[in-house]
Amino acid sequence: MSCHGPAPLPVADRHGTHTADDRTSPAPLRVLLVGGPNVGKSTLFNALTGARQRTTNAPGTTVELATGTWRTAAPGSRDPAIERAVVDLPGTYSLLARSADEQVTADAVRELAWQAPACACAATSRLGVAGVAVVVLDSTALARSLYLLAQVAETGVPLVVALTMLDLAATATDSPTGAMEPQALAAALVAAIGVPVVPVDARNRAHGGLRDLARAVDEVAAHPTHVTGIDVPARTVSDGATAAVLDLAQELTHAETLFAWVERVATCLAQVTTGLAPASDTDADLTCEHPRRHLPSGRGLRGRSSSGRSSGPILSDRIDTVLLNPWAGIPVFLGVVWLLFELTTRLAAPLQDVIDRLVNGALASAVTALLGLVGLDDSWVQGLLVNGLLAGVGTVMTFVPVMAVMFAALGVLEDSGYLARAAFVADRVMRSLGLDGRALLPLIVGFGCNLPAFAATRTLPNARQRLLTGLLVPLTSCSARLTVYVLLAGAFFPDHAGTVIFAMYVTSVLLVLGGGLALRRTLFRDVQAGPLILILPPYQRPHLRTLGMSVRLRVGAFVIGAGKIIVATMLVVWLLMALPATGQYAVGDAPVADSLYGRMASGIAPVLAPAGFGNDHAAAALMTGFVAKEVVVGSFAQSYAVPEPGDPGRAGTLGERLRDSFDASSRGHGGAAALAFMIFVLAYTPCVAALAEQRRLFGWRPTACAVGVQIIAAWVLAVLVFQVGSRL
Amino acid sequence: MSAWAAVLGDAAAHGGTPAQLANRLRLPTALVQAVLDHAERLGVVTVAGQGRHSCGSACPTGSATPPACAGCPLSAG
Repeated sequence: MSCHGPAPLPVADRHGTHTADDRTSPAPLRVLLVGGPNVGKSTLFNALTGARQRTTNAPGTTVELATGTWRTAAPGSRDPAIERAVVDLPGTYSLLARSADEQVTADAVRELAWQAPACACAATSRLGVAGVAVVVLDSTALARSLYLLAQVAETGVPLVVALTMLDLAATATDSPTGAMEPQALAAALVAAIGVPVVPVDARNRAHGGLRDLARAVDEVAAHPTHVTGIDVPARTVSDGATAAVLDLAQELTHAETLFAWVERVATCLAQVTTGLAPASDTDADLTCEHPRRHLPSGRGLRGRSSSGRSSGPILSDRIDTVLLNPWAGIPVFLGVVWLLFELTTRLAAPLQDVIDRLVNGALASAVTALLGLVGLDDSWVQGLLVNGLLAGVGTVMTFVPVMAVMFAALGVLEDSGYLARAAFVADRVMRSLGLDGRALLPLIVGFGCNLPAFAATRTLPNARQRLLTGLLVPLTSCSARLTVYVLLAGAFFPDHAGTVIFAMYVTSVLLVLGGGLALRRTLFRDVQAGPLILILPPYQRPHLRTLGMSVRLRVGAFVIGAGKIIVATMLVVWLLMALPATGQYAVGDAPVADSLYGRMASGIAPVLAPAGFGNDHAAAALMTGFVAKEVVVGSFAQSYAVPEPGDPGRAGTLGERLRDSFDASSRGHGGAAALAFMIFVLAYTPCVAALAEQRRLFGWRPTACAVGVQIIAAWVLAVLVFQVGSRL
Repeated sequence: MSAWAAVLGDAAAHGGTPAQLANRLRLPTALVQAVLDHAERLGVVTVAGQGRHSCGSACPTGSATPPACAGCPLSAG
């Protein structure tokens, strides 16, 4: 048996991260959670690991994995708790992968299969095997889950089956096994497939069968059992012209064998349901006979209607007649997204104000006072600590409420089953960009704030699709850019300000579509939206504990991952503003115009001249806008040395100064230059926080390339707008 | 006839959505979807308007070439 499998997945224990190649001590038993999308796998993972979990990328990929420690007390002994390293693998319907995420799951299962106890290269646990796969089966769609089980089983990996969604199966009229008690269904399945089956309700930790699952996993680890009844014919290896045809024929035969096994298992379950076979039948060779010969009409695998319904539609079906209808579903989806906006802005805004006042007000004053005690007030040290470090930390902290609300809202949409419906109705629109319907949500969220929009890309199942969507998100016009549009439109086009602002949003949509099509035809030619075959989960109430845990973990990942980059960037900006360009001033005392920052703005201004806004004020505003678009208006006010208007729509003195300098730099075409400036603000990098999140999710290389392309595209578009506009 | 053969045979003869196939064959939709999903991964079923996983409208290339295209002289994979 070969010991050379795919790169081992990271697993977490209380001491940190190690891999299966760590041979210094008996590794904790590795438990892989395998299952289709929306089967309750992540809920089970959260219930098993509690707070002892972390997210990490699968080796050599950008596929995010959750790993954690599953700890239970040793039964009947004073030994310390038993620990198992759990990996929540990406959901898939098949081990024949067609995306990077699915490949990670397939590789992980096969890697575990290769790590048999006899293999000296594998770090086996104290129980004798390297790990156990827990295949999570959705009781409401057993036929689909059983096929994945068959594929996992044939790899030879020791496995346990966890049955989820039993409460929903019990109320669903389209579930062939809905009438069965969970334990009876489990017993019937055990008899049919020959491996332990544990009904779990992960949303109810107290009675969720988690202890039974732990016991079953440990037993299988000690005495591996394998699924019975799968008789896959041996494959032949061939060369030459007939090899391809032979391979396909073998694949088809292989698939037919696995599906025949699925049918037999389903038939056995149906017979148990109708009382034709005892649930405790221990004959593991699947001797159940074909249902068409023995079952009454309307029972068993066959003999059901299109969805297997035997009575009227359930509540989920009735809701779906509205939500899956294109005419009603799309307006409802837009309404839900609007609600998402409202929640993130209205709920988070007051909290952001509080945090901002706390960090930049009370805390900054306290730090300043402390520095005063040691004679360092009004020094560069104070500037570094208060205006650099503390301002950076404050920026990170003010985003925490936005991210928390967004993650919570996304969690509710996902757990309730609505997100799958939204993806379904939006699917046709997004296919023009090579994306499936799930990509619409982050792009719409981007119009509120780009930062949570990056977070929303995690709902996409494919890493390349996530990257493509992530590259398009910065082109959506976030609400921070609106303040710039309002200021300039009010100052230059007072009679048509509303139309100009609307045109900016239309331009944003066109940029997303144009950018998406350009990327599809160049760097992302491999990205195609696969057929969106989703098993729509029944609607259910989200579980608050699981939701809270998920929000906490994701916000924590943001604070640590993106936060350090935001703080570092803020420090660099402060340093550039504090360092004088000449020896006339001390560090921290130089006016902005005489700082390195000011000199850089002067250096950049000529580059912006073809766009009509080649003046120091505009260049400095765009530089600070790189940190956050919210500060562009403040930067203008600062560089013109006028008070920042409370309402950007009433620009007052600032508007006059803007018109003067834009008219001067554009030789009398201030309006065209203002439009070009707005286009530049729309197209270039949204803010350093978004940049940090992009880097965290996709890595440095795509992020750096994206920044370069955004700046070049922004410049080209701005020049185009000015050159055309100034000639009209 | 097995569900696998029945679904593929019906899809080849009549086409249709998974729900329509399930209705005609009197099979659970979940099973029909599982069969079609796997067949699509093998490249023996194409989804209308796609043409990626089968030779419906183009020849796939590269490592993602489905088994059904292996050996095809028009496929560069």
